[in-house]
Amino acid sequence: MARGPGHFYIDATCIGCGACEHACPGKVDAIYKVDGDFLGRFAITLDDCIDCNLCIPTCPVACIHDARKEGIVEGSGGYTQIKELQAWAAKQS
Amino acid sequence: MTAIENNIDSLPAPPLDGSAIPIAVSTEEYVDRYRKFYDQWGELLQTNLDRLDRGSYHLGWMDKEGSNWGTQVKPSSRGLTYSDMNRSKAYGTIPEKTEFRNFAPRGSVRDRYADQLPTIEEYDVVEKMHVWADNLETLYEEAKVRQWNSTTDIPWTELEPVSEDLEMAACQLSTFLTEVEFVAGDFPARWIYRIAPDYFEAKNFLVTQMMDEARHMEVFRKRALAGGGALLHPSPAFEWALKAILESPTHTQGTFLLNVLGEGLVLTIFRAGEFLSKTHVDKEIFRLCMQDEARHVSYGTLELKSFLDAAPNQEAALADMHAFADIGEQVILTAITDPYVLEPLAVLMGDGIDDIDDGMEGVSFLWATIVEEYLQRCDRAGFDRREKCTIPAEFPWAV
Repeated sequence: MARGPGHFYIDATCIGCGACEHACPGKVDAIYKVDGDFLGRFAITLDDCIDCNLCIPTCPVACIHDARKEGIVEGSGGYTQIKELQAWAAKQS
Repeated sequence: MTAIENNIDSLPAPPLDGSAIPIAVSTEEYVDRYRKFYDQWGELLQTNLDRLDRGSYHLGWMDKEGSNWGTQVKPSSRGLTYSDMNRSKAYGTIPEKTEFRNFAPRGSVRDRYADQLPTIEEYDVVEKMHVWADNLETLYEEAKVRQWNSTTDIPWTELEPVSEDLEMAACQLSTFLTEVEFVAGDFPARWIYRIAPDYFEAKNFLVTQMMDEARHMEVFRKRALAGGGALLHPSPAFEWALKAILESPTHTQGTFLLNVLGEGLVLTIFRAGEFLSKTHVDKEIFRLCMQDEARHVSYGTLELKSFLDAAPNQEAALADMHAFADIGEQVILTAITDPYVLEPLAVLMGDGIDDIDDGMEGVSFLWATIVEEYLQRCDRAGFDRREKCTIPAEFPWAV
């Protein structure tokens, strides 16, 4: 059942702890683990999200954002620094 | 002397030949201790026996006065979670400090029994700020849902042979990770027993952490042997770091050192697992372990925040944590500069011992990621280590 679109999203700095998925109300269930993502990150189905804000306080790395307030945040710092390692590894192979 | 006291006096003498199970007190001390408590529990026993002897009922357990009778908790579509339970004020009010150092459940009719209930002296972590994290209940649910089995969920039969240097590096890394996982299980074990049962959500989550670490210890031990290699060398440098974690003076400090710094470091290594793995079996091991590890890091980060937010004297709490982190970072630095840890990582990154120099370049990216992620987690917890951090931001390797 479509309820959205919501305005919350998870940036690339997610560490995959899953606290947000369980904070998301059961009947909403808008947060899912991204299939096949090696880093085990989560994402939000905007059509299901009801902007309830329950997930944001549980995130230990502040990677969930409200696009209405913050715009689109790419994420920065250590959690995305692994991209440099990925780029280095890509050059090696 | 009553018949009951006679029975107590006739208890067999405790064995003194050392054959008893070695626990904190000897059987003799234990029996003496419970004889001394007899005034308290013996009175209850005598009252109960007298009642039975009279054929009389008590029915005090049917008294609803002081109970939360009628509070119906409602499951969400996920089922009945602690978050659902704790929505009610009756059951979801977590005390900042608890007076109850016994097994009476939070929310039960327990006030009236306060004078009769025994005190468990070892329950000495009685303040919420030392154990709580705002994501505790959700992490506990996540932990239960994502349990896996290293016996059957890893496709062991598909482990492909690799060159001996790469297999040795994988085995050395597995040996190191087995050491780490031991302490990651033993540290919560040291504290779970001390946490007052009013904070059972924390105790329950820490039990899942212990189960996770048991599984990780198991999977890396299996990995070391599954390719025909061996468990290789323990790392004395890392073991000093593990000892420092285990012996941390408070739960919050130890959780910072283990979950934020130590497991954060391991999480970063696991996140790099797709570059360290030479087989899809290794990738699967890293992927599954990483998901568990993320929960532990998550708990540690928000537990530190909970402590710093709630500390009555925040300035003193911060100063104390910084003093602890100063030495904690140094012991972790001792560990992560150890060749028994760094060199296998470099061999795996470089794809062989001949390309270990290339691999060290990869390790330098890994190092910078580890340090920056650690600082970012500290930021999130309200613990600014950026100017104070004693671990170099860049890999101290002379190219």
